[in-house]
Amino acid sequence: MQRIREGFLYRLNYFLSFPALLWQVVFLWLPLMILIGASVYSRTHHFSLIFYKEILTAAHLRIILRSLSLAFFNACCCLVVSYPVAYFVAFHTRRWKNILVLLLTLPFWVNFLVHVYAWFFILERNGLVNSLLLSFGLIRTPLHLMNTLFSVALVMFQVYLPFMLLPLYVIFEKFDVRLIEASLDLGASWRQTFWQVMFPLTLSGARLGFFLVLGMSFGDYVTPQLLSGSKTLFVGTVISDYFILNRSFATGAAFMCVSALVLIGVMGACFVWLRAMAKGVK
Amino acid sequence: MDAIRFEQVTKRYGPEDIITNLNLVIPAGKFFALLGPSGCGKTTLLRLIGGFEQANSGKIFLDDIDVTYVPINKRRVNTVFQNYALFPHLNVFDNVAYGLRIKAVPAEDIKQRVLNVLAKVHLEKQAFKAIDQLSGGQQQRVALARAIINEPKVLLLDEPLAALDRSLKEQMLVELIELQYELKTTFVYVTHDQTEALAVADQMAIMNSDGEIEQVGTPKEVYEFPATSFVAKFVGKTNLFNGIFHEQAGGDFVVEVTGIGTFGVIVDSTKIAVANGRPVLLSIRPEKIEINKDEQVGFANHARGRVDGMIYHGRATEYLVDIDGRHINVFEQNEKHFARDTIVEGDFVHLYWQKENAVVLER
Repeated sequence: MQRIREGFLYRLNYFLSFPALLWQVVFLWLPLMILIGASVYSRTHHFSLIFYKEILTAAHLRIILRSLSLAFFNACCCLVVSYPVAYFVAFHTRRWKNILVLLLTLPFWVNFLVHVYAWFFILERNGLVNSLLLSFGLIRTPLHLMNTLFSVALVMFQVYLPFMLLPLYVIFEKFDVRLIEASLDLGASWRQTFWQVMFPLTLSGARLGFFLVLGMSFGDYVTPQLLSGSKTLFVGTVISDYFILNRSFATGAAFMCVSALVLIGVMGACFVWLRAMAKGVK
Repeated sequence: MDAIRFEQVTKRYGPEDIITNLNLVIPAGKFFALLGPSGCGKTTLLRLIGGFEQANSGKIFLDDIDVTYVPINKRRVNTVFQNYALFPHLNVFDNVAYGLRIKAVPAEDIKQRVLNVLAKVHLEKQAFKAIDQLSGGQQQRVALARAIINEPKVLLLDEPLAALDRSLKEQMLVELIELQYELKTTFVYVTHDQTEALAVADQMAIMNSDGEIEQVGTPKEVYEFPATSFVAKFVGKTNLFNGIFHEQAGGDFVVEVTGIGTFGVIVDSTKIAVANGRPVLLSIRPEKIEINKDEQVGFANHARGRVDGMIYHGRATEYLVDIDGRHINVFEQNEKHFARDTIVEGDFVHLYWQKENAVVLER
C-alpha cells in the first residue's frame, strides 16, 4: 500500500514539474541551442569557427575581463555588506524583524529602470551629491560622477544587493545561535568561531548570493548602457550591439558563448575553492 | 573550597529583575543540582557562570577568582546545552575534538584523548558518524564528551535530559553520577524535575519563581526537612495544613489544625521561632502516613477519614482521604503480592504518623 502511494506521488512529482520543464525548454534551452548553433554555422551553411576567431581578440577579451572584474568586485562588496546585515536582522531584531525583511525585499518591487533613473538625480552634475558637497563647501566645482565606472559599480551594487541579502538572511534564519555560544564555550575566539562554525554553516547561502550577483552583474545590459556612457564597453552592451546594431547574429552568439563559458569557468573555480576552504578550516 | 560563589548578584533583562542580590555557594567536586520551576531564572544563573550573560551587579567567583567580567572563552567552564548545540557540519569525532583543536593540541594527542572520552560515554563505535545519524541519547553523550574532554573546573548541564524518554533518562542519570564520581569535576545541573535533582545531587539548591534561593542542602535534608512551604510543595508531594502552634505543659509542641485535630510535632527552635498561638504550616509527606482500616498502636498522631479516590501506581497506591471536606494524600507501598485487607473507595480508614515525620513551616 505504502509503496503504491509512494509510486503514485513520485509520478505526480514529474507531472507537476512538467509546466516548469516546458517553460525552461522553450524559453531557455531552445534559444540557447539556437544561439550555439548560429555561432558555429558559417554563412555557407557549414560548421565553422570563423565567428569565434573573429571575437577572440585582445579587445574582446578585455571587455570580458572588465565585466568580470566589475561583477566580481560587486559580488564581493554585496557579500561583505550583506553578511553583517543578514546576521543582525536574523538575530538582533525581535519585533522589527518582519518589517526589516520587508524593507530588504522592497527593491524587488520597484522597476529596474526606476532605480537607475533615480540614481541620475543623485549623481548628475546638478544632482543631490554635488549640490550637497557644494553647499557644505567641500568641493568648488561639481564632481564628474555620471558616466564613470564608479557610477556603474555603485548602481549595480544597489540593484543587486537584495539578491545577496535574501539568501544570506534565509540561511541565518536557520542558523542556531547556540552554536556560536557552544564554540565560545569550548574556548574558541570570535574569529575562530566565525571560521569554524559560521562560515561553513552559512556557506551555501553566501555562495548562492555570490553567484547570483556575479552572474547578473556580469551580463547586465541596462546599468552600463545608461550609466557608463558609450565609451566603456561591457559584455552586455557588446552583445546587444552585435545583435541589434550590427545585425551580426552569429558573431554576437559566439561572443555570448565565450563570455558564458568564462563565467561558468570562474564560478566553477570559486565553487571548488570555497569547498576546499570549508574543508580546510578545522 | 568553593567552586563557585555568587555575591549579591543581580541580573536584569530590560526593566525586569531575573535574579536580585543572589548569594550562593557551590562546593567544589560535588554534583550540585539547581532546581526550580520553569522560567525562575535558574538557566540565567547557569549562563552567568558560563559567561554567556553579564551580571548587572555583584560578583561571581570561580575557584576564589573573580570571573564576573571574564569572557566565555577564557573561563574553565564547559556547558552541556539543553538541545546539545552540536555542530551539524562536523562528525562525532570532530565535535568532541573541537575544544582541543582550538587549543592547538597535537593531532596524535587529540586522537588519543577523543577516543578515550568517547569510550567513557560509550560512543566508540559512532566516532565517525554524522550528528544527524545519532539518536537523542547518543547526541546527549556527544555533548557530554565534547564538554568534559576540556577538563573544565565546572561542568554546566542545562536540563540535559529533558528531551530523552523516561528509561533513557534514568540510564543517563546513573551514568552522569558515575561520571562525576570518576572525574571529580564540579557538576552544576539545572533542572525543573525534582526526581532528577534528588537522584543526582550531592547538594541542591531550590529556587522559587522570583529567582530567590529558598533552600540549599543535601537531597535528604531538602526532602525531609523542607525549609519553606515552597520547597515542601515543589520537592515531592506533601500535605500542607494551616495550623496554630502551641507549647504544652510538658514541653511538648503541638499544631492545632482546625477541623482535623491537634497533632504532636518536633521542632528545631534554631530553625523556626517557637511562640504560642503562632500561625504555622504543617507539612506531612504522603508516604509518611500509615493508612489502615483497623486501629493501630504506637503512633503519636491519628486522624480518621473516608477514602475518596485511589490511584494504583504499581509499586505504590495513592489514596485520597477525605477528612471533613479536607483532602489528604497518602502513599502506601504495595509490599505484598495481594494485600489481605484491601482498602476500597468509600472505606473509613485510620491515618497515623509519627511526630518526627511532620514538619512545621513558617506561614
